[in-house]
Amino acid sequence: MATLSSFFAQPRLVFGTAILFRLGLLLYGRWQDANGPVKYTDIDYFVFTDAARFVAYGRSPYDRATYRYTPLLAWLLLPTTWATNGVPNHVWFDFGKVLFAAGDIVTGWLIMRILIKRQGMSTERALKYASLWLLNPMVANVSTRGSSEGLLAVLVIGLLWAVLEMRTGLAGVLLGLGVHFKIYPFIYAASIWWWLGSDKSNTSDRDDLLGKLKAFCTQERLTLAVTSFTTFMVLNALMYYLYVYSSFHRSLYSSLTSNSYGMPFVEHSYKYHFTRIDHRHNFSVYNTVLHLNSAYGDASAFRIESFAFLPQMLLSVVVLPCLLAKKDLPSTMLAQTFAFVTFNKVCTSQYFLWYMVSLPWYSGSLVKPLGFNKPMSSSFSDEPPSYLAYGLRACCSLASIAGSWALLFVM
Amino acid sequence: MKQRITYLLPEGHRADAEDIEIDSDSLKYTKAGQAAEEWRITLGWDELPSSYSRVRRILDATFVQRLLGDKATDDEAARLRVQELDHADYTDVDFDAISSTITLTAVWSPVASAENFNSTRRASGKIRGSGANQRIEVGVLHPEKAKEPEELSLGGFLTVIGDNDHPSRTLFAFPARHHPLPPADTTTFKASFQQPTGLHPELQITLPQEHLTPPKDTCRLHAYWTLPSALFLDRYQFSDSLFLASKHLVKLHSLSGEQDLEAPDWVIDRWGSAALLELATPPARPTVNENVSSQWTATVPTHLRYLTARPNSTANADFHYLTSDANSVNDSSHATLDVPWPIVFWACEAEEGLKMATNPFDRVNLGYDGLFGPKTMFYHIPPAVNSIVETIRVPVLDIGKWVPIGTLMTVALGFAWVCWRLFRAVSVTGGSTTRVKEKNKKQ
Repeated sequence: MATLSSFFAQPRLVFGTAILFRLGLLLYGRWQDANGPVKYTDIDYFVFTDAARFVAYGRSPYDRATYRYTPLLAWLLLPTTWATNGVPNHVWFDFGKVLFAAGDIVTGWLIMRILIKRQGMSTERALKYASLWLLNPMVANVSTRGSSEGLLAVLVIGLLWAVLEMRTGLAGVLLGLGVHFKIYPFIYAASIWWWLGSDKSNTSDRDDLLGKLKAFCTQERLTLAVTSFTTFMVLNALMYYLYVYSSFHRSLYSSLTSNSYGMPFVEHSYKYHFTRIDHRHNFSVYNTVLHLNSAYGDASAFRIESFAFLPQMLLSVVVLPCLLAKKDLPSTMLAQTFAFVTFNKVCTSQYFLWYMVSLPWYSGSLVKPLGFNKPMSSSFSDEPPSYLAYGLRACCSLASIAGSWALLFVM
Repeated sequence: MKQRITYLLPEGHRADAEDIEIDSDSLKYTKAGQAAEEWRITLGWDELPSSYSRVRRILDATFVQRLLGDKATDDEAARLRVQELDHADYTDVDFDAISSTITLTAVWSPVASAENFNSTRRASGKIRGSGANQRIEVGVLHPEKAKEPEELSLGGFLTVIGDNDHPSRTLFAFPARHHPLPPADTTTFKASFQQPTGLHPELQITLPQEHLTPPKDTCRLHAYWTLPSALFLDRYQFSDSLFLASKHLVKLHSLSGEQDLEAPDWVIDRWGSAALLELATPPARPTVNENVSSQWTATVPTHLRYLTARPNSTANADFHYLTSDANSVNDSSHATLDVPWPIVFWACEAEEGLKMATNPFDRVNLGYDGLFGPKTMFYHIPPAVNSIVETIRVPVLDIGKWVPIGTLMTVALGFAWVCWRLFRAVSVTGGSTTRVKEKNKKQ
């Protein structure tokens, strides 16, 4: 145990291992892609890089079928098109995977910082919890295969860090960016808003409605709301109108003279997610109902999926933030994400990563039921007894769920 | 209105003038039952009844059948043939915008080999012309040996009903786009789906490896496959050379039609898609140490769209893919899907200077020939069996009341349980309504 604790005592060792692990997976992935008909690289990564290639040639990324993300992602992956001539094995082709893996590492570092600074953990304990993410093979696999969840994790954890540091402006920007990327981070707005708290000091003179309103909208809350909304709308407007505007400047940038992203952007980035009818790879409880209602639309009497948003939104945006945000913001975010994913109409395997990123401090708070707001006890240096048990229980339930799904498909 | 009727005798037979009886307004060919029959009718646009003149885009067989049925009330020859269009081996409809004419061509194989259909009209071989406006050209032909290897040659008799009183002998040759395999080559192919098919059926095209050599050096083996909308190909899958090599494919040259990768079949409007694939050929074996009669298999991966348990009655009513098999009514858990075999052929470069359009029986725009250059010849590999349609059983889910009720109850119960635990936990530990400002910054 001594070597294990000395391993976790040094960030350099842990982060070095995490980086080497991902590097190894990247190299293995290149080998498998080059030598086997079954590729290590995720299909989605080919979608991203194809879309980036379209952008490099001055066209819209939505020309690539099944590209349902923000154009920002295609822009970000433009280096994958350098000097490749479409050859998948070129080194620059893996730039996106490196970016996502780097996002993982940054996320792990931020998790460690938050645990150390906000909950007052020792470096060693913080690193152990952060390793739930850093040394997690599933996380490393997802990023090195080219799935973009690593970027989103950075945004979410960065958002949490900024809020805890009371940098509400930065938090707002990150929140707006996150919602633009994947819609679901808007649920964190509710819990962060609630956590930021009303200002008691302002209500001394006015007790009427206006005073309550003033107390409700504190400086911090307003900063958050304004910056996040502005960021979100600016990004949307940029994607929608940029290319229409730049048709006046055709000579300037060849890549900006493409057709306007316009309606395809709205359709594929946002509308699609509200009306999607692909039932494959869907772990959601509404899976079969969606299939049936799509196929036999006229015959079904009760369209349950129209009301699916009710429990989902009630839980993740109303009940959980109101009840729990002030106690422990990070764990509330975990609970919100979990509720959102569970009651969502669509759930693919990537969605599981959305709440996995919040596991480290939840496991920390399991051991110490005290949240981020209570004063520290002197016994925090004790080794958490239930750490191993918790981890094992979580692994077992995850494995059994995944296994039963697999059995279902095989049968 | 012009008509051209051709009787084509199979290999080994010869056309005989004694079998052709000609009148002033009719012709009778006694051996018609042994010959394949081609009927080509050309109508000028101004000959169409005015109600059709507005419908310029639709040229499907049903429409033309109705059209000709209306037109041909006076002409017995045409009327009888129109009734038999459903049993033709193939029907081509052509619209020439420059000369504003519609041409319909239909071909029936010899009566003797037609399986289910017995036509007394065709066996009698009687053609009756009518009216001075009609011109009916009749040919009775048999294959001759062509001098050039890329040409086809036909000999026999030609006549025009009403103009001639005796048939005139003829012999002509022309370069042809489409050929059968050389007589010495007995290669055939089989197509079948790997069982069980699952949601991603894989079509296997099997050819005997022994004589799989191209008729000429420049030839490459291709398969052209039309798929109903319930099946589709993922073109992105075909971009990896390692994957293609493992399936014995060279390239997906063309994919047209409905290619949506995610949509279920009930939202698809189009009839389906068509793909041109180049197949890999086995490498030349230096020594024969393997089983000589081994098979060479090319595999084409496809994907199924979700189907409904009941045929979709709104869209695609005319392009019905689900067989209304009495047996399948009882089994509401599966739908049956009929998928035609692909055609397999060698595509070869033709010599310079050949004029393939001089072929009086030339067929173009078949779907795949336009994907090659104009100087291409096709050597077709015949299927090994007569039945060239594969049937797939596709699991389907029929709507019941338990799924919506069960889902609703699950969600409601889950939601209630979560809320109960939450409220209980908060009331026990006591929720704090103010955030304690951050204090300890130890470590």
